[in-house]
Amino acid sequence: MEGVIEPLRVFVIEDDPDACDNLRDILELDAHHVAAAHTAGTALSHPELPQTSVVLLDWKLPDATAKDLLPQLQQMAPAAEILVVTGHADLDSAVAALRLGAADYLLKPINPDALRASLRRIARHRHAEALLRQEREFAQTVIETAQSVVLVLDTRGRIVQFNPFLEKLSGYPLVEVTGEDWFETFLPERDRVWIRQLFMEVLEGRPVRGTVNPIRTRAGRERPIAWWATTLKNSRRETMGVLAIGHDVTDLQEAQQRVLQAERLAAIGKAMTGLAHESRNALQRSQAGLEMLTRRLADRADLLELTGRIQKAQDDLHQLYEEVREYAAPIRLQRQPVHLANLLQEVWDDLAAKTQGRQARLHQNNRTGDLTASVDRFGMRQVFRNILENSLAACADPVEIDADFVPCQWEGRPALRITLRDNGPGLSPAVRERIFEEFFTTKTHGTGLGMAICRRIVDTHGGRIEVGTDPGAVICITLPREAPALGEKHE
Amino acid sequence: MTKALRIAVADDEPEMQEYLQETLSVLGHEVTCAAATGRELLEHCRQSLPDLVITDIKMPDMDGLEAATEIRALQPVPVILVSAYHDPELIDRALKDHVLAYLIKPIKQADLETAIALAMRRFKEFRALQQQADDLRQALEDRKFVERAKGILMKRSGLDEPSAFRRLQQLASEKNTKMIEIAQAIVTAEEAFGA
Repeated sequence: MEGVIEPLRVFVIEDDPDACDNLRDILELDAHHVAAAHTAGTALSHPELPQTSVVLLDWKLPDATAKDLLPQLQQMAPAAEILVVTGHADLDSAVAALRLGAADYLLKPINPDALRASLRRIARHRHAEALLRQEREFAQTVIETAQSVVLVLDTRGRIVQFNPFLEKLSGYPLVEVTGEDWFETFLPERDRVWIRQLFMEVLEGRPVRGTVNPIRTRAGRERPIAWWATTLKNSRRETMGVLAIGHDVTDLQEAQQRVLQAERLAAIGKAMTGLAHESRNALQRSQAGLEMLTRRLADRADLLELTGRIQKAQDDLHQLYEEVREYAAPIRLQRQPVHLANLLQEVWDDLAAKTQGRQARLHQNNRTGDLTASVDRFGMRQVFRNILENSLAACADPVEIDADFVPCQWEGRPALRITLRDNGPGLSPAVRERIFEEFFTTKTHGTGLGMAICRRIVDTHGGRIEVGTDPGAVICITLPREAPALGEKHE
Repeated sequence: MTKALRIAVADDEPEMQEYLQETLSVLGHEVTCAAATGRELLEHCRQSLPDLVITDIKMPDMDGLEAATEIRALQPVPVILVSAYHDPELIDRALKDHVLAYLIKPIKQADLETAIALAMRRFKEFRALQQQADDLRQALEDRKFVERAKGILMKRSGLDEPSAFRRLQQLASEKNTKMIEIAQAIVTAEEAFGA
C-alpha cells in the first residue's frame, strides 16, 4: 500500500516549460491527472483549477508573486492543497508560504520521491478529512432528523446549540436564543433552581438518566421531557459543557394519567357500589319511618307538606345512589340482534310519561335498510334514555329530536351510525369537551354520570360516541354490527 | 284490591318488621308472623301455612331463599323477596325457586301493593296450570286402566273392542260407580287370578 496513492488532480504552475514538463511526467507516471499553466494569469482562468485537489506552485512567477497568488488560488480552488516550490536560497519564502496556508514546500530541483511523499501525505490527509466529513454529516443528519431534543449548553448553562426538533417543539429558533441562559429561557420558574442543581452535578460528572421536567414553549405551554445528560469534553478532556438528549413524554404522561384516572375511578366505583348497597338498607329504614310517620299525620295537612318534601329528597337520594351504582357496576354485555330504531322508539314511548304536558316529538328519519346490530339491549336502552332525557331537560317546548341511521364502516367492520340532534341551545365548546367526563353536569340535578355511562356502554360495544356541532346538541354513536372477534382490541 | 291475605314476613331489621306489619295491615292483610330469621319463618310456616311469604334474603342462621325453598317443600306458597342486593345471579336463583317477585330495597307501600297483587295472580295462574297438568296426568292414568280392563274383557269373554267398552259402561251404570273404578276392579281381579 505504501507506494500506491489515489490519483489526484494536480495543477502545476511553473514558468519554466522544461521543469513543468518534467513535473508532469513524474506525476502522470503515478497516474495523477495533471493540468499546467506557465503564468499566474493563465492559471487563474484555467477551467481545471476549481476542481483541482493539489496545486504545485512555483514561488517565482513572471507575472505575480506566490505571496499574492496564494490567497487567490485558495479562493478559486478552495478544496485544493497548495505545495510551494522554492529554491534553496529561498527558505524564508517557504516559511512565508506555509504561513499563508500552503500545505508543504518542495525544494528545487524537485526530487521525485520527495514529491511523491508529499502527495501521499496530502492524499492521506484528504482521505481522513473526507471520512471525518462523512461522519460529521451523518451526525448532523441524525441530530437534525432525530425526533428527540438534542441540546448543548456551555458550562454556565448558556445555549450553544440545539436541533430543529427542539425548535419545532418550543417555537424558539436557535439563532434567537443562542447564548441565552437555558434555565431562564426554557424552564418554568418553579423548576429553575433544582434543574440548575442537576446541571451542576452533570458538570461534575454525574450524568442524568431519564429525569422528567417540562420545558415551557414560546406559546407558554409546558411539555414534559425526559432528559439524559452527560458532559461534553474537548480534545484535551476538558469539560466544555453539557450534552442533553430529551424525549417528549407528553403522550406517555397523558396515557399514564388516563390509566391513573381509570384506576382511581375503579376504586371510587368499588367504594360507591359498596356504599350504594349499604345505603339501600338505610334508605329502606328511612322510607319505612317516613311512611309510618305520614300515616300518623294523615289529618295534619301542614305537616304532610313537610313529609312530602322529605319523601322527595329521599327519592332523589335513592335515584342518585342508583345512578352511581349503575355506573360503577361492571358491564356484562348480553349481545343479541336488536333493531335500534325500534329500541329508540320504545325508549321514547317509555319517556312519554315525562313528556306529558310537554310538546315533544321524536322524528326518525331514513328508517330504511338494515337497522339491526348485535348489542346489549339493556345497555343501549340506557344510552338512548340518557341522551333523550338530556335533550328533554335542555330544550324548551316544542322539543324536536331528530334521529338518523346510516350504515357505515367502523374500524374495518360494518357498523351503524346513529345521530341524535335536538333543537335546544346546543353544547358550548367547553361542555362538548367535557360532556363524557364523570361527574360533569350542567344540570342542577343529576350526578353527571349519564353521558359517562353512555360512553362506557358504547365503548364496551367496541363503538364510539361523539358530540357534534350544530345549533342544537348532536350526539353521534357508531356501533359495530357484530362483536369484535375474540382477542381483538378496540379503543 | 286483592282479598285479605294471611302473610308471613321475615326481616332481620326490627324497623322493617314493624313497617311490614303496619303497611300490610293498611293494605288490608293479616300478618301472621314477623320473623327475624329464616329459621323462625320456616318454623312458623310448619305450624300454619300462610297465603303469602314476604322475606328478606340476608338474615342470620338461614337466608330467605333457603327458607323459601324449604317452605315450598311443605306446600306451594307464593314468595316475594325483598332485598338490598341486586345481584343478577341471586335473582336467577330466586326465580328458579318459584319466587314470584323480587323487590329491591328501598321499597314503598305502593311497591308492596303492586307486587302482592301480581304475585297472587301469578300464583293463581301457576296453581291453575298445575291443576290442569294434574288432571291431564290423572286422565291419562285412568285411560291406561280402562284400556287394560278392556283387553281383559276381550280375552276372557271373546268380545270385540266396542262391545268390551260398552260392557264397562254398562257395569259402571249398573253399580252406580265410575268407569275407572270398574276398570281398576277388573285389573285387580285379573292380577288375583294370576293370569
